[in-house]
Amino acid sequence: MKNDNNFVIQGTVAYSNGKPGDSLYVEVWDKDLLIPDFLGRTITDNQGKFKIMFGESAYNKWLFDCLPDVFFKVYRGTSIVLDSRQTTYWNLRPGIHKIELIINQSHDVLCPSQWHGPIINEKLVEGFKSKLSSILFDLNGEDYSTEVDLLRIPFSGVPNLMDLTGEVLSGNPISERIFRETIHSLGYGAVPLKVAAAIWHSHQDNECTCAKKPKGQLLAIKKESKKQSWLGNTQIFDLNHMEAVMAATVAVAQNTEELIQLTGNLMLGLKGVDELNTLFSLTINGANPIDIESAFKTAVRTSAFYGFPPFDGFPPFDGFTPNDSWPLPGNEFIPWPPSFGWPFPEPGSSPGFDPNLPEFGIHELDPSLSTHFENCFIFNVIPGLHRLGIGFTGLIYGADNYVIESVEPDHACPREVITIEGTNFDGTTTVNFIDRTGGSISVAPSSVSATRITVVLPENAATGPVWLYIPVNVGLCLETYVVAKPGVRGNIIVGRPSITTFEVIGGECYDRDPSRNIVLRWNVQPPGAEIEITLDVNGTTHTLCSGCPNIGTLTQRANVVGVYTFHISVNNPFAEACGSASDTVVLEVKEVSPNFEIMGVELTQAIQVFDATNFEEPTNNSIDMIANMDTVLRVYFTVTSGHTFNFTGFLELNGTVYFPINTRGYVPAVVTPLRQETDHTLNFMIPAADANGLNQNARIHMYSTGDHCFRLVKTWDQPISWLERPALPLTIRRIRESHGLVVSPSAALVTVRSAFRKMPSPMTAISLHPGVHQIREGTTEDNFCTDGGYYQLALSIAYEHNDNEGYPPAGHSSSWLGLYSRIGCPVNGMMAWPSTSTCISENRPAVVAHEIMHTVGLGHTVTGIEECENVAQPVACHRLPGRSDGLLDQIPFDIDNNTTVTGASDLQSYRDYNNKWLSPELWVLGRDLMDTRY
Amino acid sequence: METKDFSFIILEALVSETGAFQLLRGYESTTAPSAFRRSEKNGDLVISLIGSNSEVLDSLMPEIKYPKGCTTAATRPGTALVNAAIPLHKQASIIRMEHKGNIIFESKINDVKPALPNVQLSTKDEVAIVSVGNDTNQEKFWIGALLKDGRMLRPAAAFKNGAFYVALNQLAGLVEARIVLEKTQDFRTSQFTSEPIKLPASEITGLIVEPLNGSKWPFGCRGSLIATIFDNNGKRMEWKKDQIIWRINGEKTKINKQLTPWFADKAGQHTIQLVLMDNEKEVKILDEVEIKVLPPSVEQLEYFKLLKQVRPEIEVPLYEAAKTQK
Repeated sequence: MKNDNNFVIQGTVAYSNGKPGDSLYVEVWDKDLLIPDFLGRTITDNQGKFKIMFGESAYNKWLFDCLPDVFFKVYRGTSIVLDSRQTTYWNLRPGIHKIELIINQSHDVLCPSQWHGPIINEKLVEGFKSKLSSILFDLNGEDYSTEVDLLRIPFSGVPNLMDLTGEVLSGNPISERIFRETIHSLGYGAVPLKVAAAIWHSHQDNECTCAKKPKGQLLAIKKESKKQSWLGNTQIFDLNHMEAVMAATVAVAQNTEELIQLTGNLMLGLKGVDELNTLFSLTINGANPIDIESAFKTAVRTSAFYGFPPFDGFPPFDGFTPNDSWPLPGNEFIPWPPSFGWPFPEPGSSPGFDPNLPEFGIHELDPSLSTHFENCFIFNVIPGLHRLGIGFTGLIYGADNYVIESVEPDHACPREVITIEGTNFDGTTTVNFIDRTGGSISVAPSSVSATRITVVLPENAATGPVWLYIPVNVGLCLETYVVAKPGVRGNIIVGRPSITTFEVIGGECYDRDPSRNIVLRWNVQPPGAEIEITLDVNGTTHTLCSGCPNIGTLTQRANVVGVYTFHISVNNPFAEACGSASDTVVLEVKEVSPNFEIMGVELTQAIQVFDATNFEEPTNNSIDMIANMDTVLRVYFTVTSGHTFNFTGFLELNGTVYFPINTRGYVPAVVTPLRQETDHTLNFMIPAADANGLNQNARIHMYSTGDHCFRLVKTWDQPISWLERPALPLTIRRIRESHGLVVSPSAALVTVRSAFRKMPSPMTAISLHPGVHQIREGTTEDNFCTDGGYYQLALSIAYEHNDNEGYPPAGHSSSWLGLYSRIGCPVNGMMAWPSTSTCISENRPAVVAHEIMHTVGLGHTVTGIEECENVAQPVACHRLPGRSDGLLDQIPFDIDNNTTVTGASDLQSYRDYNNKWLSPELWVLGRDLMDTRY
Repeated sequence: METKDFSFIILEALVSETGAFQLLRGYESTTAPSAFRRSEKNGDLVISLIGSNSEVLDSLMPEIKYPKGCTTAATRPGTALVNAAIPLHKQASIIRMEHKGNIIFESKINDVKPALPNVQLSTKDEVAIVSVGNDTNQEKFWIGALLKDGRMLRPAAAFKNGAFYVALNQLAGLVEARIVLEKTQDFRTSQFTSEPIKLPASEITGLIVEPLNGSKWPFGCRGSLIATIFDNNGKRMEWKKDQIIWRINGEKTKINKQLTPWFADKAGQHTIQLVLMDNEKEVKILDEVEIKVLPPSVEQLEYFKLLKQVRPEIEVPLYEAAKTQK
């Protein structure tokens, strides 16, 4: 029979400042192979003194060497303030022992709410990989980037792991589930035997043999030394965070098997971390590249589970069948469930494993970072949390968890005071509810006692669990953390109904189509809510359903044109005082979409050959486009149905979108478009700055403004080539008559610019001479408009401009345009080719363009008024075939005024004072003359 | 035939279809464009040199054209410009012009060239001062600028207090020139040619052709900014990308070309400037226009809303902008 209480410990606890450690819990432990044995517990008096007695039955687990190795843990409440494992009393003999325990008062507490983001420093890893590749390349001259990519970074891919950890340790039940799934999903799928055995061992009520007690002292020394080594280096992982993840893992495991499995996932990840840290440390500290290469291969082998030679990678774990005879040289891990060579013991049964297992059957992890955390897990994390009652009930002992026994009322409205009754409520700082998104809402209680809490239900609370946040500290291996005390949660139904979904599937686009249905769907909480859905069409209301389910859909035919208003009203019969909820969806059912076809596109920069009655006519668009000139595209279309609608669209060219230039942005439906009607075509303008390049494709998209669903978007690809042509060089020279009148520069530019709209030239070579030519009074210049003195004036201007290009010109590098503002001059302008200067006394674009085209070399278009010039112009005169009156048979487009032009006469005729445009023939001739001269 | 020092008499004149005549200039020159010496049969105009015994020493029928004015009024008689060059014979004492058989001009030809005055040349600022002393009959004189490439230009010159004031800024950018003063009397000409003088540098000038100052630009309309660059005499200059920039409301445009596309996405007054730069520093604003971008119309708002529905993937920043600029 074993002797109880033959060991007596008498001791004192004091703080480092000398004050006695009163009212502290002191625990005595035997440092065992895997899990320490609890020997006894007491509380200190007001002088910090304590006394604990225990007998052999408390620790005698082994056959030999049965003296206990004692260490102490001291708690203030549930917070650990001292762990004396590093000063273990080895082989304590029976008798009275006096000891003194000193508590260091500087003890940081980490707050889980401060944690965010991933556990791994992703940027650090990228930089590390880059440097590693560089070192390996320098060593072997080979590109190792692929192999470096094989370095699987444990725990990567979980960007919010620390957020989840913080939520778990704060007691959020929703986050617990997500965290569990996350750790499971890490999928490492293997468990280090030592951890598995330790966990299993700690939860079996077994008699152990004392035959093979491990060398605990050695273990402690190893841990300390490794801690010294790796804590001194920069780490890829934040170790405190790793410890917190472990704590959260313990908190969420639902039973022993799951704890082992989750732990296995973590430990295997840690093994990879270990190798990575070694490699990382070597890399950033500039170690011998050969050592780096060796560490790299080890790390790849460890981390790349799918890896194969040349790095001797492990076989894939997915699909691996336990007990398969897989050759695993050096494998420290086994797939789950762990194959010990005997059936894995069920809870309550005898473990039946070989007692020699710890010595011979288990390959220990390298005594490094993973070793530290393995020990931390076994000796600190698991017992520390279970001491607080955190974790599954099979592990908890001696915890005073809170229990919510009732929530009154259990159906409540926001802002209503509710009362929570139960036990162990002391220390509650917040009461927690979930919101509609699954997140948590924390509210400070109005009053707290050990058994009763009153709190105001927050505005956004939703039906679901209610739990308390009672912060407690837990000291783990590296730090002390604040975690939520566990307990039995309550539930509450929040009375205000919520409509999470009420919508028409497919948007708001409907046309009157009896074959189509409007599909309405909704989702309302809570499930017991009373729901009614109505539909108003053009003022007539129908009830679509009453007493509808809280989640559902219904369909409605869109067979009437009009505004459809769906309305949902919801009432919660359990808490009517909370009010009701409602929502509305409005859509408009329109007439059936019209149908139409694009027939052709006219390209014009002023004049074009185009037959709007025959879009296949080969001469259509035969006038080439000139680069750097505004270009208008007229889109001809015909409507086959839906004639009451309007049409619009857009044009895409080289990634740029152009909108219509029609005044209203749209045009009416037409069946037979007329070319002379501006709005019978949808018109787009590509500005001069964009008008360049060969074989460009302008894609036109066209649709009806009444096509509510835009099912009929017609497209047309229009090829365009803009040919590079010389710009007509023109210098404007303003002339002041002897009485002082002079055209202002801005007025001169307006006139000339408008003249260029009628000419086949970009406006990129217009210059404005800053000076003003002063007519000499009393000379022929003064009377030039009545006496035909244009030539002298033109010569004067040319001479003054130093071009010396009077008549004939020495070199025709530019045209000079003298603008004269005299009113009532009977001669508007005069010019004779091949002079370079012309004088204009009418501020009219048509006159200016006419005279400029003379300087280019075009004579008159003869209609019976004009004379065919008896000078040797390249085009001395011209006659429009079949149009003796000079009227054009093509329709010019006035870009400045954004309109088609009707009834126009040829620019080089004397017909019509203002409405004159170049005929297609003269446009081409004039353009060709410019080609030869500039 | 013997000529006097192989020179020509150059005639510049106007003659109408009815025979009205005005001599613009008649002088002696050792060179003459070949076109001036063209002779036509059955020409309206005949120029003759007459000897002391009234004998015709030489004659020329220059090519003349009577252009028609552009007018809706009644046709007016055409006026032709006469440019002719006839070799000067030693024996020639009279020059005569006949139009359709009628003598319309006759003048004597001196035996000797006129004596040149004591010509003094000086420059001040951008003006060359050619002093002719007491010889104040300015009608006898003609001022030219002979360039290094042989071209003879005619700068503007004003006569005052016995000197011609020649505006050199019209010759800006041509580097250097010799000032030529010719004195002509009875179709004989003496010439003074100065040493080369330095001409002013040309000055960059710019003109915004589009948009026009004070114009209204529709909201959301893509258009062009167009400008031209030239010197202070209107001579076009090359557009250098880093030298000239566009600025809209003080901000440099992303594209900087002679033709630059622009998209009006904000209603209100806009200031568009053409700016001369030197090493990214502003030298001067060459031209500036103020335009008004009109607020979006109701139709435009509807259009943008529709476009957004049809093609949501197309960026229609104008839609949001338009809603706030109604």
